[in-house]
Amino acid sequence: MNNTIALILAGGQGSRLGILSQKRAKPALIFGGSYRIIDFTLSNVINSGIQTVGILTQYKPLSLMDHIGKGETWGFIGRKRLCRILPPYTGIKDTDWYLGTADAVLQNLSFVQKYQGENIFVLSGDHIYNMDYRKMLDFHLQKEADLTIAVQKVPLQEAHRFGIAVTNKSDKIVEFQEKPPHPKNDLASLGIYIFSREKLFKRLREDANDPYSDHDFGKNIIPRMIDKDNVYAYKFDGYWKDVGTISSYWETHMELLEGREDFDLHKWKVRKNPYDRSVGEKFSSFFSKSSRVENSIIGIGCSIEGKIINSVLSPGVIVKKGAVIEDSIIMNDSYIGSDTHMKKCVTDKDITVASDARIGMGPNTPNSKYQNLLSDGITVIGKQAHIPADTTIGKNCLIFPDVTEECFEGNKKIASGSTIHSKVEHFWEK
Amino acid sequence: MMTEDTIAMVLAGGVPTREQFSVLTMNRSKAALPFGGVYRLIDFSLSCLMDSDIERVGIITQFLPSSLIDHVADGYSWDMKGYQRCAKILPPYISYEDNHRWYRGTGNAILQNINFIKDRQPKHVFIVPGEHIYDVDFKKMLRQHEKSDSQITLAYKEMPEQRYCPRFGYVKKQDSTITDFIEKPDEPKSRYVSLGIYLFDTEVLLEEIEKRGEDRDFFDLVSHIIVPLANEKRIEGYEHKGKWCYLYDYLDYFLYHRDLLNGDLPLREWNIMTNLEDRDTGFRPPAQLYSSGNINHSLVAPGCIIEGEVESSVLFPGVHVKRNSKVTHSIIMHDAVIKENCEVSGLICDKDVVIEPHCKVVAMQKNLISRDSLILLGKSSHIQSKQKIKPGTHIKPGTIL
Repeated sequence: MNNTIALILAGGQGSRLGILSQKRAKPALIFGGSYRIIDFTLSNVINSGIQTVGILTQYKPLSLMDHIGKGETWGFIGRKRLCRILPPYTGIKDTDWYLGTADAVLQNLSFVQKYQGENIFVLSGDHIYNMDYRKMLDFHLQKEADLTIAVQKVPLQEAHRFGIAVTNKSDKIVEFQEKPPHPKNDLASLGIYIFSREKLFKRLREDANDPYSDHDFGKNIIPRMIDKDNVYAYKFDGYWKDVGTISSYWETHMELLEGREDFDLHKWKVRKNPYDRSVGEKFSSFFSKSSRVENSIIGIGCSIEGKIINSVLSPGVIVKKGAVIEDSIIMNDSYIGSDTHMKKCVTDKDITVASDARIGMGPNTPNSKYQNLLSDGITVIGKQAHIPADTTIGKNCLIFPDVTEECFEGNKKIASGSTIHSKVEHFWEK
Repeated sequence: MMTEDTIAMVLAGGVPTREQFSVLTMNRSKAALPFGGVYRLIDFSLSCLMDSDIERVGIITQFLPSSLIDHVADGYSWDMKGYQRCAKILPPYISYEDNHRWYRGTGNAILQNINFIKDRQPKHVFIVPGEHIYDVDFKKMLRQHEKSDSQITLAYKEMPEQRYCPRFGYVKKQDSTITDFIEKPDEPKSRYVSLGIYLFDTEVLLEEIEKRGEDRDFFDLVSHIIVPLANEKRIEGYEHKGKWCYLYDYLDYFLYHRDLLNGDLPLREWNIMTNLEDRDTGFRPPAQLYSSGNINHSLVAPGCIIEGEVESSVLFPGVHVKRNSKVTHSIIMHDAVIKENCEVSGLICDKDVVIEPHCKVVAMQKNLISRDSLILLGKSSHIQSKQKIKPGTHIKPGTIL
């Protein structure tokens, strides 16, 4: 795979993930207990024998850069292997922020040229799937395609959420509809592309000169290539999920707990960075005599005295006696006090919940401020928030990062759909 | 910083007898014994050295070193890789000179590696065991050593007399001066146990090692250097107040794991580093626990899949306990699989063991486990279905039964 390189688009803000992506790029969000979302794509790359990868970042890249480092833990180290973070840089033009996904790649063509990629994978850093790219590359080469797009059958009523490929009998794409209100087909693009170098360069340069273009692969480059070049659809039938919203993030975790054959982290060989927070060296998880665990995933370094049902706990979570955690996702190093009951919560790192709290109970009123984010009954708690004892918090609530006891102003009953803001003002939010 | 002038020699080449660790050390050295989930015994000494900023370390190996070499690798895990930092494995070797052969005693091992010390020109040399469990602050010990007028400091720990053990070396002391060193006494003569941790001024160590090396072929650091020196020179004693565990045999190994479960060995509070690449320890998915299972009073490492019942046990990475099986009072190492409808108790199970369905591997007799009743299954052994393994059975690595 010497002539193949991968570019991972990891610049997205993931605004529909709300406070979970407030301080980090979406690909850096924790997933499945001890992974970050980008680990899945990055592991697919190395497991497929692709040795050169560039990661295009833009939005709050620090967590991501810390996490990836030089790519050592994925095996990208050695004379013939390379993992490079590619942030925006100032250059010839006045506006140097990446304008869109296509512009991001255009600005890094020199990286592609330097490492002599003939076949260029353009991947997304925010999807959960396990795929051998070699099979797709074989297909691409066999079809002598200029562009191959991985697609998957979706229910027709959901097709409007995706880019939809309309194909002929030989899998050639004849039309591409980006999020169409009336989809003509049920084959959704998975955001996994292989471009041949010459055609990619040519089309990107044309696009750059088009003042009306959004410089986006889905909206501009792909439709143009379908008109002019050989574009094929490669059918992938494995598990694939875009975890772009709080609901899909939660649902994907619940699917992980189902023990599905096609979504089994014990078989996927996902690599990660265990040096991040020294997570790999934590002491094993302890389950006391009072603990009870049903159908859950528990990271290293947890201490469980309470009851865990259908939940995913990241490393270092402490759950005291009498506490019940149900249908929830609890991220690293959080503390759940005794006799607290949490249901359908997604909580960021380092939160503290004092004893006797009840969170995620009550009527399913959508969030009054962020209705588009929170209406499925999930309550979200931000990083380092502190929930005082005896507090009841309803469904679809949003507790901002760094919230302290004072922010509750003595209120012990937080109705469903409420939002609690932090009193800490961050200079970057002004 | 003072530790810049300090190096450490880790003794990790000891030859355990078959009676001591039986099948557990048939493929590995004692220092490479997995412990407590994701660690190996050597991690404790290397992590203490790292925490004390001692970054140039030689590791003396001889007995079955392969696992140990893999695990130590380039020393990266303990921050011992980089400019003028190292964790170097020191194996025995031959040369044109007669005296370069297998190590004959700990003193001889240091002598054969004297160039490792000389090349680095340290002011001080620590000699520490690589097979014990401890969290000694070497920096504090070094500070006390520098304040004293002594050229040798040894670490000791006060132990209650009822925990007297004839296998230890004991010291007598006056204030902080060691007045006598009694190696393996028949009856208790002191409450102060020597921890096998020594700190030398380099010139004293080199002089003594070279002098004793001329006199005799086999020589031991303790009986031929420390014990005579205790009479000749002033030795400073450094009191260690934290934990220190010596593992004599597989019963100790079992009991210290029980201490872990009971909270008597607080590893959670220690800063233990390990090689996360070794057997992909750091890259496993989190443990998955199914509703069909039940777990209490147990430790579970990443990568485990629990579908059965687990009680008072320590599970290392990747252990799979299947439905309707019950594991109690056991230590199960990496990637062992206990299939459906098995009963397991009082078992020390090495890596990659497979126990097929409907087996009974039970060491408990009248709710008690003794040294004689513990069952040991060697690495990659395979117990075929519907078998009953008797208490006290030890199965050699790779056996198909």
